[in-house]
Amino acid sequence: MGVAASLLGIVIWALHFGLVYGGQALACEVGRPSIVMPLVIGASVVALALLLVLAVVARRSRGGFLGGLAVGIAAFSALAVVWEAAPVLALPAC
Amino acid sequence: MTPTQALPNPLPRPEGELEALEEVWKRPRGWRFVTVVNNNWIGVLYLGTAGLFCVFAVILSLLMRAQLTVGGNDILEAGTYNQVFTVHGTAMMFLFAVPAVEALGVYLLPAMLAARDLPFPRLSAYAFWAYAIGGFFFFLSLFWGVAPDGGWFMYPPLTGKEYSPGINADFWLLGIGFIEISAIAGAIEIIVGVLRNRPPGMTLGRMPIFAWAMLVFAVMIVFAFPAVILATILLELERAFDWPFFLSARGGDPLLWQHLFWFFGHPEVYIIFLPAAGAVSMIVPAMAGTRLVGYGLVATALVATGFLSFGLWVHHMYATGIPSLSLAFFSAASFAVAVPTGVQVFAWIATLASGRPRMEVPMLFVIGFLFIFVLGGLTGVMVAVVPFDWQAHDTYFIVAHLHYVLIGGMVFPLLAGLYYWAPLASGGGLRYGRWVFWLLFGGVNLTFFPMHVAGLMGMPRRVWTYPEGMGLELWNILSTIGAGVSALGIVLLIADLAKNFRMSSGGTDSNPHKAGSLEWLPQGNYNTRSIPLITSRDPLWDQPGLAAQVEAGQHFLPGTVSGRRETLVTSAVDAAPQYIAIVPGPGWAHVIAAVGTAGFFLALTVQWVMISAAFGAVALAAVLYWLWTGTDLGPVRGPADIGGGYTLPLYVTGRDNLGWWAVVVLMLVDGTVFGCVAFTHIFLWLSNGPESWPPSGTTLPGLMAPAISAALVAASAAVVMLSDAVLKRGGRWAVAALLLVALALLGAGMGLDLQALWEAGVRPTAHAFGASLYANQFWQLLHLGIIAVMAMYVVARIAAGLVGAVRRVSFDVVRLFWFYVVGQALAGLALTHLFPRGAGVA
Repeated sequence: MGVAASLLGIVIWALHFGLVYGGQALACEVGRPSIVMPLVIGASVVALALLLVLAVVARRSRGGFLGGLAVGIAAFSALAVVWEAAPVLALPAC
Repeated sequence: MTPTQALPNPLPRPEGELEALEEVWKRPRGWRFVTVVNNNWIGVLYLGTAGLFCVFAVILSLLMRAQLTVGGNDILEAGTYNQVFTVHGTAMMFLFAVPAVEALGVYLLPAMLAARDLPFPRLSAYAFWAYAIGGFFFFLSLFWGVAPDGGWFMYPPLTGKEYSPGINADFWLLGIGFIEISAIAGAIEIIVGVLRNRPPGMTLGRMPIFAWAMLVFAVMIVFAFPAVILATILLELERAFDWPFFLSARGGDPLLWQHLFWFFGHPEVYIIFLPAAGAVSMIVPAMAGTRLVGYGLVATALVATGFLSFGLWVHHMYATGIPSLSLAFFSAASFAVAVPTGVQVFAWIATLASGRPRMEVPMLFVIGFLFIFVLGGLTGVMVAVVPFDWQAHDTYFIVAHLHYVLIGGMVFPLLAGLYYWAPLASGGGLRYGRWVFWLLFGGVNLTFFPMHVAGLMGMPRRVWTYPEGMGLELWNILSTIGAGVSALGIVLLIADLAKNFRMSSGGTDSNPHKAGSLEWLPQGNYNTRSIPLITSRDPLWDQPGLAAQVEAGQHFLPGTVSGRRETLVTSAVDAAPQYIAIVPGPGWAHVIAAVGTAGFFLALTVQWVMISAAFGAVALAAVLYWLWTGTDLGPVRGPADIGGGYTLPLYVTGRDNLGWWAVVVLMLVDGTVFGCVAFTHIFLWLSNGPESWPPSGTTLPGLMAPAISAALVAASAAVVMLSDAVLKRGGRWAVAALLLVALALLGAGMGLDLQALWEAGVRPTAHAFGASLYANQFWQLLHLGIIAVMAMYVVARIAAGLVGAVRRVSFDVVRLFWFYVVGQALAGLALTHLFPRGAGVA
């Protein structure tokens, strides 16, 4: 488990956050509020799946300290992804 | 084999070995002391200067408290009050908090990592002097009434030319230029130092938590500071040349500033907090006499806090009319970041519970930190809730919250660290700590707790007075009394330092706190006599006899092998020995460069353009002289034995070289600034709406010109590759000629694009569209200038016979940066010519 691989969770979180925030702003700007919910939920499902794969691979690789770091970062990222996506279920899209 | 036989170097050590080491690392005496570069001295000077600036900023806060003691007071006029609170906030953030934690890292990291020094000592000395001189003049602006007065976050349009016509705002925008430079210099130093200068055997998983915290801190600076660097450039371009980035009448948007500022400003809070948390993670185990509970979790939590904090910036902008779903994303992210912070707090509590904590002064400050910081964190969760924030926004509740977070999260841990590490820095400890603690703990709570109430009653922040008869009197009087009590604590702290702290070359013979980390090994200017082989996270607890072995020279590199200052370079993950790097000693060049840098920005502020240019030229010349004489020395001798069966080279090229790593970090900084340029363009596009991007009446040049530009720029990279191949075969003049050709190609490509844009009639002053395109041009041409200087430097080194097939680090570094500049130029062309076309279609 290399340093870059152990930090992959950050990249997944950042892409998810950028996509959700930027995508929603863009969709509202061009007058397409209906795509916000599917976009946010779809992006979140993909991000969570990737984080799960990352955590499983990191555990199986017996990567020592960096492997543990990868799992921990994936867990924090997953928590943030779920929390950040949740408001879309309760609030109007734009 | 017994353990003593397994040590890297045998006894007795050759005669004169220690004396030679001491001679090489001797500090300059008398007036030459200003040339000192060693971290043991620069770190303390840095910390002392940050402390001095903190005291100046505290004096300003006392003036404000005096003014607010009763309603309708007239100690400060409204205009002066604006300057005072702006300088107070700006100085506390930029001149105290960031430099202070950076200084702590500069001072402690080499000792904790048993490195002889940081990898680029002159860089940190340069950063220190630029900061010290620039910061001093920044404060002086108050005495002429030209200090910035737009609040520490400087929102336009208030800070635009129309509403702030004087030079006050420029003092902020240009005046903190030097602090941006020194923060980034420090970040490069710390990232490379933590990753490459650890002792053999200290894998990432054995690194002290403080080093983890400093690593995350430095990486955060790399990604956060670029946003404020670009923001200040844009606002200054608007003020000086009327490029309307933030003027809505011409397509600009004041919210752009808020996005850029808080993309820096929120991580900034964690930039300040994480090193302090790292210090606490060192102090708690030592005071409790037991290992840190959850080492891996704490390291993970530091990394997680670092990156999640980049998703919070909009929570400073709840009241700006952004759609509620967008706000909810940031509200949720603000809750998420509380989780890793909570993990750390629980780890400290569990460590205290599992050991027998000694209630010494550092421990008192740690408990004070937990109390104050947790309260600040709780009000932080309150204001992360959007509807609550709408009520509390811009009131004293926020003032109370941010002071609880920053004083609790940074000042108390720093003071814990001061009392904890003082014996290391001065040979003896400080004495009045308990009094200082109780005065500050009581004073801080008495000052800031009533502000919650005043804020909830509706008292707005940043207003010089308030009407009587609204129930605000009691809370304000309590706050002012509290400020006085805190001031007494600070006076006592200064007295303690003046009486009991003496700068020394560092190290104690004893381990006064019975701690497990390496800074408590016997030390001198060169830090440890020999560089220990590490087999555990708490080496002084788990490796008996280590201190005596290290001091006797039984570990790695017990002397100097080249007769110069050296430090051991190890691999980033496993800390396997790789090479011996020669590090520079005292010199004048970096001091002159620092004077030039500070002078450049300050003269520019008061619009002395020629004097500013002269200072800039002096700084550049000094930097070039320092590089020429102090870096890329080549293989001064063959590989040397450091003990333990390792024979290491003193010169390596390519990806293992420390300079290469420094350039990679610099590229991340520049790439992030460019990312912010692209964000600016895309944000303004969204803000204007696709139909007016470009605005009617503005047309971009045809695609032919940018295609030729792209081809020329790419060709320059190809020519640099060719010069690399020629250099490998031992070419000399051909390499110089190829570099000049490559420079001409790059210049032609960029120049052609600028010309095409201008001839198509796009102007930076007409509309934010043009302004954002020329901001991109500005950034690209700045890099052309940097590459021109670098190319000429290498050509000159070739002419002097200092670059060849073997001695080629200077060339490698320039080549790497060249490729970056080419990539950035191509991305810039796409941003200018392709994005508006694609976006227009959408």
